[in-house]
Amino acid sequence: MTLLKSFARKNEFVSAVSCVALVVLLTVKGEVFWTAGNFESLQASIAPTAIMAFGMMALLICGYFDLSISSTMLLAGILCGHLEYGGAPIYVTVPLVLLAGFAVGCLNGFLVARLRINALIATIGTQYIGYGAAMLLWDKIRGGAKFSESFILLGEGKMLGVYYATWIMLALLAFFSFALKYTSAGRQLYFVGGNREASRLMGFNDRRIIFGAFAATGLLASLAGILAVARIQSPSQYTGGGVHMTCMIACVVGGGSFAGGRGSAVGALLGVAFMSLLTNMFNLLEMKPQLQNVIIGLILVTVIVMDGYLNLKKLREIGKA
Amino acid sequence: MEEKPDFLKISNISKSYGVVKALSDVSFSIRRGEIHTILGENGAGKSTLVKIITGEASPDQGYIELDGARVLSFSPRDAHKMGIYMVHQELAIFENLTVAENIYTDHSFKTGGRIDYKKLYEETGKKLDMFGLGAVAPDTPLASLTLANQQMIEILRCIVAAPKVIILDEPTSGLNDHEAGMLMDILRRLKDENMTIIYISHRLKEIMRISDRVTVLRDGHFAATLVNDEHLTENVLINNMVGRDLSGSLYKIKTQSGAQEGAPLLEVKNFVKKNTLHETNFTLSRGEVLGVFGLEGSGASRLSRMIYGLERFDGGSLSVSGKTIPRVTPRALVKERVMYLNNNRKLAGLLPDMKVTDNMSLPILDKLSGKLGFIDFKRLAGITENFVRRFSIVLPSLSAKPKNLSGGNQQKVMLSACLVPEPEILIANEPTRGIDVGAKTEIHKFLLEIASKGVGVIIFSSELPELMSLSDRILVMRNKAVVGEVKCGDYTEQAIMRHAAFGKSPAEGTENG
Ligand SMILES: Nc1ncnc2c1ncn2[C@@H]1O[C@H](COP(=O)(O)OP(=O)(O)OP(=O)(O)O)[C@@H](O)[C@H]1O
Ligand SMILES: [Mg+2]
Repeated sequence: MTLLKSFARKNEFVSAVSCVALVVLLTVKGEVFWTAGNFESLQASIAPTAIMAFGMMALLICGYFDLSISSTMLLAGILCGHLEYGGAPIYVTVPLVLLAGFAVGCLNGFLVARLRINALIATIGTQYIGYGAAMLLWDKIRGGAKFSESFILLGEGKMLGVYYATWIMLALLAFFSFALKYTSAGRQLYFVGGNREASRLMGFNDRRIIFGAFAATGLLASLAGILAVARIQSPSQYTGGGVHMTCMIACVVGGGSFAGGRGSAVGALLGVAFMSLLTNMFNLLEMKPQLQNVIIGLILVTVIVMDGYLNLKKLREIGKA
Repeated sequence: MEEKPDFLKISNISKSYGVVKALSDVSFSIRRGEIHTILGENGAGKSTLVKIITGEASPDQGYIELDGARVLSFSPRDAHKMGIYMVHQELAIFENLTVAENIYTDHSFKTGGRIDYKKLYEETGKKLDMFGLGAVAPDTPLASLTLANQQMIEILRCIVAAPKVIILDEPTSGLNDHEAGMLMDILRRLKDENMTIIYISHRLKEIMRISDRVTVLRDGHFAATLVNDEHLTENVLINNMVGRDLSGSLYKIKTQSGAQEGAPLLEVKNFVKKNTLHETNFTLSRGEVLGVFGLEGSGASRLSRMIYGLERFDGGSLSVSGKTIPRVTPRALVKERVMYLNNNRKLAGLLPDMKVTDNMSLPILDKLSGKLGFIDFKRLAGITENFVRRFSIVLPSLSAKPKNLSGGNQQKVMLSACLVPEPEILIANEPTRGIDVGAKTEIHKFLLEIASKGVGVIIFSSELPELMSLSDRILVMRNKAVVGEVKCGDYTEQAIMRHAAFGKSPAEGTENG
């Protein structure tokens, strides 16, 4: 009982329960849920999104967010196309594209951490830049051929029946879980997000910490882009559409907060799983896209209200509000 | 006593913020292993000076010498490396993190880069025990601690860093005598270990008790460095600080109650909250100043919040002028002309980024607006000006922002904002927290004056002398209940402390406290 109670108080509680509820619902409602094909498509949607959500969570913890991950992911996919069609081998393509994502992340970090531009404005700006650049590049490879064998293997390959992309995601989950809990750099995100002014007085380099979180998020977005296009075997202009919102909602569902100072990698994954299961349900039930939007919007509002309410309740409990 | 060598030399330091000259050509030295107090009125430049020592602010002119070597320019991080740590006047804490992480912010316990939480909690537990905070678990979130305990945690953080120089900027302003006493003991112990301590406080008794030497700043200028020997008295300190004698008006114990006869102005009936407050009843008369005293955890500050509807309670009722308030919320109480002074100016007391005048206008916005709904700025300026003069608030202009004022002056602005609407009842939490002796006597006079005009005042304070000089009656709380009442005329510190420490609380044995 106490174990249950302490779990209920954890930030990941909401997302875990929601995931279980959705799985139950899907099991009852749709016969196709427990099929290999459905699991594969779930993996394909969860893995890249979760990879980015780890970065987004790190940003939320230190009090920021990044709206440009969707365009970075798109750009990464299209860059893969250019390099692949140009005949570059995979060991050149992947590092170069990752570098590009990292560069976008650094730009965001520079704008927000150093020039102190509001994260909303800064990352909307880079989102536009990224999207525009991606579309320019897209025009040149529109209707191009398929990727090379080795690149496709990156998306199609499996180990123990599970996609490489999922393994990569799980490795990153382990890495982020460890880093956020057990390393100084990870903890400093919580310090900065909890009280930036005070963290500066403690001698933390707050700008470098925020910069690092942005850079990592850009890098992860390009990794997600690579894995996504490898999986569909060709670049696409639709990669990453709206994924910045999905990630942010997922992170808040998973225990992150726009107020900063809390969140975990497991929470990010659970949040993404929730969002993917939800889409899965929409598809299996053949729900109208308009209705889907209404439901996602409702979830967003609910989650944000909950976030605010829980903060308030905690403060009330200890008599501070 | 043998002369200790100079350790930290402050040379010709000047610092301006725009037109405000915070420090002008200040020079003095601090010796290794001494407790050196810096004293001065609100806005005299004390915090600015110590911020320069820790690299949080840089001087326009002059320099600091540490151990004979000139320190050029540095940041808080470099200061830490040189062994200089500071407890800030405004708490620098992380409410989202645990007590342990707030103390060991640099995560000292690592095995191969991996933070060792077991060791971290263990060591934190030991340190908490050592400093009388054994009841606090190392893994509780800091947000759930009381303000005083949060303050203690920040102090602990500096101490565990084993610095060479520790600077404490008004560490006791949120502590009661007992806690402050404990801090004094700790500081003495650190001094015996040859740590250099720079201490800032407005509490003269404390300063007399602990300092080796006292440097007085006046208006940003160096006034004097005084040795704490048999010649030093509180009067000498005050004279140096304000240049006039205030001893007559300071802390005279009240002997004559000013409470008026008749129906009570405010009545608290059967207030209860599980695990927080045992059944509580009291009344406040017109013209009465009611003091409430309780040590940490006594429930006093929670009670103050409940009366104002800032914290929910399980049962009981509140009536103002005989009218029962159906739903106790701040809004309902403001309507009944009850005002509340928060004890945490940083979190809930002030709008730090808005003008001082805006802060003042908040409670009276509707009254300030004319027929067309425009705000009468002239009147607002007049009202503000009045308080600025009355409480000697030091500010560059009426449109200054509170975040740029010194701590004591912020407190004065916050208090003024509560007084602007001319309340019928004032509930004040630590009304003179961090305020210098001169301004304090002014504020005390003001509070007694409004009481004599029929206003009811409830003061929650951790400072007994303040309560004894203002109150007509003092309720003493202990262990979530009012355990005693001392009437004006019977005041002695011993009598009140006896209740606060040993009073029989009805909450005992019934609940888990
Ligand atoms: N960041 C700032 N911007 C503008 N003015 C400032 C700033 N910091 C301090 N000042 C001004 O410098 C003067 C000295 O302030 P300081 O905080 O050093 O006073 P203090 O002696 O610590 O007073 P207190 O006892 O109230 O804490 C004040 O007049 C204050 O308004
Ligand atoms: Mg100060």
